[in-house]
Amino acid sequence: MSSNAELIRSAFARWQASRGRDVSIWWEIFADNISFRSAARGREPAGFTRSVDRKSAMLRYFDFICLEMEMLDYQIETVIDAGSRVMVVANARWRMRRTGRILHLRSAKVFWFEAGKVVRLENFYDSAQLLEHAAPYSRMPTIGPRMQHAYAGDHA
Amino acid sequence: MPETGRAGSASADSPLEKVRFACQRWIDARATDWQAWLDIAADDIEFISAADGRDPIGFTRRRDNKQELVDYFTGLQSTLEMIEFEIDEIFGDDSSVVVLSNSLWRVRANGRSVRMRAMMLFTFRDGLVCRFENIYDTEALFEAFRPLANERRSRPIIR
Repeated sequence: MSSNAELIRSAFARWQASRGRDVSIWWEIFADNISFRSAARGREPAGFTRSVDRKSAMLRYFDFICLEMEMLDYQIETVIDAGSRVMVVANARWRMRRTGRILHLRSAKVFWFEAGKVVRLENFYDSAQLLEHAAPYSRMPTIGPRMQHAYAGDHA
Repeated sequence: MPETGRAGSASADSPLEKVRFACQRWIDARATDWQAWLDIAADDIEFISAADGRDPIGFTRRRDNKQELVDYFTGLQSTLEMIEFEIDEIFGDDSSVVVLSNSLWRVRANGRSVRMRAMMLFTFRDGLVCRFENIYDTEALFEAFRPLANERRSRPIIR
């Protein structure tokens, strides 16, 4: 029987391979009453990040990600296996479909398991960075010195 | 405060207990005493905060050793006042500890308050924290520093 951490590793591997388009992976491991919280908390122009509390809405969230963002690269850096809690730290590169901007986003996703299913998921990331890149108006993203090297050479 | 993990409810010198102790000392002092953090930090500790030094919270820039970590905590204390800080969950594995927290801070410059949900990740090497990363709702923090709409309207127009 797979551990929770192994389930999450496997799910991410499939999701990455499909460039974020195959959400059936999450359907298999999410509980019907899963609750989800994302750092941007539904603020516009990233309204798709609002909290949800059931699986169908959760899957719509992944659909919205596909509509709004194109996964260019997704690398898992660390998986912390704490039994019923699993945390994944990842570095991703997305193209915002509405603005064409390239977003480098580091995130920590915490999965809470009960009876082999994910009952809660929380996504921590630099919410200001996401909102800057999703904004339809022309505005250079504000980035700190740590990320400046990551943007070198990106032309949306 | 739920806790779980491969580290479990291990001995007092386990990574999880070290972080719990340091965090509680820091909370008890309302973020004015960070010695407990320094006690468990490696000399070459790497510190990363999600805001990454962007204005107006330059103190959040990356730090690469223990002395620079002092500078971070000094900057934090002079910029924000801790009103509340609750450890929501703490868990980890053999070498990492995760703290999820809910907190309330007051921006000293303008008196506005900001509620923060945060994830702190501590990575241990040889019994000391060699990496400390803090990921949180940066937009909420930046928003607390922005002028309010009525403040923006009342600004004199300089021609």
